[in-house]
Amino acid sequence: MIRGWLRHPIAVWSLLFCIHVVAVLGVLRLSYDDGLIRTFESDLQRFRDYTAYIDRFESDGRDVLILFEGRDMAEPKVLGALTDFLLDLQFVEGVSGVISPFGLRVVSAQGQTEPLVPDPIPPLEVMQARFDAERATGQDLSRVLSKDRTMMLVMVPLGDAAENIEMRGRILAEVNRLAGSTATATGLRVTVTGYPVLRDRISKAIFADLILLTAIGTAVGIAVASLSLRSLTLGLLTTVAPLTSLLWVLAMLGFLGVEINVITVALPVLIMVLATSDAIHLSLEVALMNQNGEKRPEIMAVRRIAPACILAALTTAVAFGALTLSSSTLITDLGKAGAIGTLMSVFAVLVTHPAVFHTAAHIVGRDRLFAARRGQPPSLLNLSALPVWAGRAPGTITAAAIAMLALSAVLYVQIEPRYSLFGDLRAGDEGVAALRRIDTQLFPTGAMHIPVKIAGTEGISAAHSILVAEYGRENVFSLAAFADRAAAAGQSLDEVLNDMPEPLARRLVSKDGHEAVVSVLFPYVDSQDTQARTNVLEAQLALAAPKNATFGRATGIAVMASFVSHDVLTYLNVSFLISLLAAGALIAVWLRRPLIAVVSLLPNVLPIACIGAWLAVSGAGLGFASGLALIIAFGLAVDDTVHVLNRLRLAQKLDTLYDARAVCDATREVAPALVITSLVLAMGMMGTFFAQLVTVTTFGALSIAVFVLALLADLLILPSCLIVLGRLQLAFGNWRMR
Amino acid sequence: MKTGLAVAVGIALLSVTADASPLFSASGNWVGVGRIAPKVDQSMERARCQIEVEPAPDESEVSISGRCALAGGSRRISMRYVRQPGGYLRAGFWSPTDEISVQYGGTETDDTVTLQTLELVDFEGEMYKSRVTMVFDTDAAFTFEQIVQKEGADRWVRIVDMRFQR
Repeated sequence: MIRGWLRHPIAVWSLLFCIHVVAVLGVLRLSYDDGLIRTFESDLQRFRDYTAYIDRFESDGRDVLILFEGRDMAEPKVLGALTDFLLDLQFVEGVSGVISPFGLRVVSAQGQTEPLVPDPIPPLEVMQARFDAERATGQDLSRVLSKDRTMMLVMVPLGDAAENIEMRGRILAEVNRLAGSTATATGLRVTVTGYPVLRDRISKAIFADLILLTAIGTAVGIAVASLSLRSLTLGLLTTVAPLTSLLWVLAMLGFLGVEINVITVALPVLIMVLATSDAIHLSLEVALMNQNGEKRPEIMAVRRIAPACILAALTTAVAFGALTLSSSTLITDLGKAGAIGTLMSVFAVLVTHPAVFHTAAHIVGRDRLFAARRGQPPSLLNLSALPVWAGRAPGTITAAAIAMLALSAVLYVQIEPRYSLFGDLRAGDEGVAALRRIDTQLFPTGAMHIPVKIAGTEGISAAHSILVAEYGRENVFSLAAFADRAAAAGQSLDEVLNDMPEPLARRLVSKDGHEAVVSVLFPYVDSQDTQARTNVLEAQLALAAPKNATFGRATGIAVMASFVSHDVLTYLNVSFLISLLAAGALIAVWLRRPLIAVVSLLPNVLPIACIGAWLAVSGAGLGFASGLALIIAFGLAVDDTVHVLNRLRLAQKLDTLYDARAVCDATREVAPALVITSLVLAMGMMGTFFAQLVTVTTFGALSIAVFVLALLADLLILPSCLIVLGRLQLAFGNWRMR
Repeated sequence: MKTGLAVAVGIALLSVTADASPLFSASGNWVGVGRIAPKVDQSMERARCQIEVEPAPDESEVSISGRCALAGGSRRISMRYVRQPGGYLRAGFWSPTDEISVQYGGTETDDTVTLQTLELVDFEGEMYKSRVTMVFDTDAAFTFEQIVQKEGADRWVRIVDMRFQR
């Protein structure tokens, strides 16, 4: 096929040009999302609880929190400026209401209700006294004004606008502008935070990281290819195919509507470095075939290398495919896109690479292209010592590897899933830091919401009382908390609700009025902590539930994320096992030697087990970045093994593995290519160290660790294991290595 | 607060009649600043409104919609003024949030619109009369005042005092 392909270069380039035009259209359709909620989108019960909850109630996950700090908020000048701010804020398109101290009302000396901050604003001392008196009588002001009055919180519920990335961005830009003007006018320090803000920051970081990763990946690809092939021209020619892969994969993501988010942001560069690795293998082979005097070295190179590239792509695709079994829609999308992208990538390389080299040879001439030692890897890249050691002590190395695997596996299986809603952001992020200040000085920002069917207010009061006894009045929020105030003002609870701003009322009673919610506030730490708290809370309610109340399961963004992340992360281990078995099966079918397939998995599983053990022992636990990195990097790491096995297959050494020298020679022969491709993979992912998102950096660091360990294992442990296997063959006579 | 604010602004913006006040040609966006009482029995607070005025091409009627905000919250408002024969006006106010509708009747001169509720209105369980006065200083500014009187009481209480500019 490739020969026919190269006979019509004009047609080939015309076709590629047309495909690229279509691909650009796909790239233009790319969309970006933070993935904070979509990561959990699933059929899991806790996610269904959460979606039902946000359908009926206003969710705290959609609040923008504006924190003013630094001066006594009772100062008339400050209050005047804040009043102007709140008035302007409510005309920002998409803002449906505000919750602030200005919405609170008090009973005046004349028995009339009036705003806590009246108009005209009284002198400083009077306002100080009003604030202090109000703080002393109820919880409402305590949640939005600190005790020393130097911190005030304004909450802006965005409702559905929080889910629309463009609208959310516009609203936040305007909120920031207004808040900034107020801060300038008053000398206050202002921080705009809350989940919509953090999500917006993540969305912007995703776009920046995608550009950064792609740029660094491309630059590294060109640099490593040029150094490896001793020629900038060959380096640039080699990189054309990976860039084609990148373009096609981005287009595929655009056409399939797969969003770029914290989970998928590293996928394009990952596939590009994989393609670069394949392309370098091909370039080295083209140079070798040219050196051997082949007339059409591009075609011969494809013939010799394509099977390994395709198998390597298949093992990677299988690793991605295993992710499609996840209950998380986002991870399933990643799995599908990764699997398709990997296969698309190898196709792009096998089609583009020979066309590029054939055309270049036609224009420049092959002799010039491969003049001197161009196309031959530098000797410093062969790491030949490792296969030599393998040949000297295969039994010892194999035994040590098995022991290390057993120990690592024992530690790895104890790993705990870990997730934090703030885990994508760097330590010291000002938005997260502001949330921590709110936690300590105003109210805990984490919340467990318990829906209660209303059949009278007894159920709500019962739940409220149970929870107040356990968690304290200041940490429990429900309609029942307003009962005393309503009684004092001679109002019914309905009237109290009617007087509240809509977003606040919808936090207490559902839109249809049939359900209420009792919320327990707590300082959010991470998913483990939240899950433990929720389990305790639900057990307490189950024990103490009165007959006239029907309590739902606790929910809210923190609760949902804690339970769903646990399930999804735990299932990643299953995905890993599936990808492991599938990779083994593919190698077994390819070589028709199941035992070799089983043995060849050892050097690939070992790096994963070692890193997993380190994650478990260090307490880092299994997160989305680490879980996905281990599975995907495993799929990529198998590639090196496939190339070693391919070299043994080409040298017809698979039936004489007892011949240590032959195994070592074959491994040494392929070592430079393996070192180069591992360099490409590892260095191509180094852009992740400069990423804004912690998830991306973690993913990159762990992937690089897997690539490096897998390379060492392929050059040291794989030949050792194969030699031991070969000697077993001899020891057991006619027992074939099948 | 909802009802009071809605009624107050609604009432205020609801009228105009025959002597061709600028209201029926005042198309565009207007910004109002001033004070509004969140409820008829509460004191006024600083407020801001943004409205869009859309007159019919033949200036026989005008629709106004927008939002008014106090520091503690905001409400959507919507109203329609229709010219009647003989220099009279009819007006209807509708608050989508509260689902309150109030009907007014009144007159217009070349710079003033005056309206009064056609029947007693139930605000928070009490019956009230309401009057609205809009005075155009120029084509680019007008004041809007609303007063209410509880049934049986002598005193009129101002609940809206806003000045609008383009």
